[in-house]
Amino acid sequence: MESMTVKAPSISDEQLLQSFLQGNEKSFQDLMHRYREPILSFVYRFVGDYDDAIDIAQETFIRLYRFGHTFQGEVKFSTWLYTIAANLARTELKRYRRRHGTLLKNVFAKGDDSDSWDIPDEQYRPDERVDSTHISQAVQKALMKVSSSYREMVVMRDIQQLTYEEIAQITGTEMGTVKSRINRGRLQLQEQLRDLYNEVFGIDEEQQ
Amino acid sequence: MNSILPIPPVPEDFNQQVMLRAWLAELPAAPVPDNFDAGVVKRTGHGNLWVINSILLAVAIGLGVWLAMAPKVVAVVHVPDVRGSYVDLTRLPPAPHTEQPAINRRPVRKSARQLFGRAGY
Repeated sequence: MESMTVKAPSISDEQLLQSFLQGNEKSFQDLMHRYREPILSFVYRFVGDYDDAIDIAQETFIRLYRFGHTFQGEVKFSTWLYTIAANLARTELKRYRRRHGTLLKNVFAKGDDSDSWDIPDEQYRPDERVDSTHISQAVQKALMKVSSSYREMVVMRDIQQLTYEEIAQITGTEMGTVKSRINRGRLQLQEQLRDLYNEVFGIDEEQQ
Repeated sequence: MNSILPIPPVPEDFNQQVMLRAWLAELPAAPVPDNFDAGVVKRTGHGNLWVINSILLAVAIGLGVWLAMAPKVVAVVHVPDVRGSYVDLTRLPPAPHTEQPAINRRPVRKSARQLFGRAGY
């Protein structure tokens, strides 16, 4: 599982950013290579649309390029970057709701069983087992039915493996609220995935 | 007397919660498309700079090639037509006769001493 944790980099994120701000474009590329996958995954799980997720993830790095000098070092660089991505994703969801009068998540939750991204990649193996693919799709579909404020935090905690403290910093929310929302989000997910539990563990309705 | 607090029972949905979190943790990462970086670079404005540089380079190369292949410049000098000033040598007027007294004058003889000086001096 890919998380935001970076494999023991020899140069810290903050050092790379400093190097970039001093004119070293290569450092920007290095930062992008470190965080493009976790950021894209986070946004995709939050927004639910792969193309929108790419757009938002790219916009996140554009913000880094343009406004990297505003990073004050009060939080970790990764927390700062996630904050940008989360804000952009939230804005995108609101924008879509204004335009179309519905939630973006509802559009992608309408029973489309096809894989959510459609790009050919010989090396990429999203799931090695067929049933694992099925579970992934079901979980993603269920995620999109969870309230966005809960979903955002569940994705950060349970998929991106961020700490409660980091989530509180990213979302600008109290720690207690973070925990509460994550719990509620998990409960909503459980409700959505009830059929999947039964299917996977072979529990009949009568046995419950 | 202190009484030991009873151990809270395991919640009924404990297994489901564990499975849910396991499934979430195992969700595959969204694949990063090959053109992701290029898209960022293009949108930061460096893409435009690259295009402008390419155009300038192409223009410079084109200009160089054009100059190299252009014909040599030959300076055209206006030469007056000399046919109009043709002179018929058979009808030239006689040249005026003039005396040249220096020719008729006897040359002044100079002695060897005058010419070469005296030995010893």
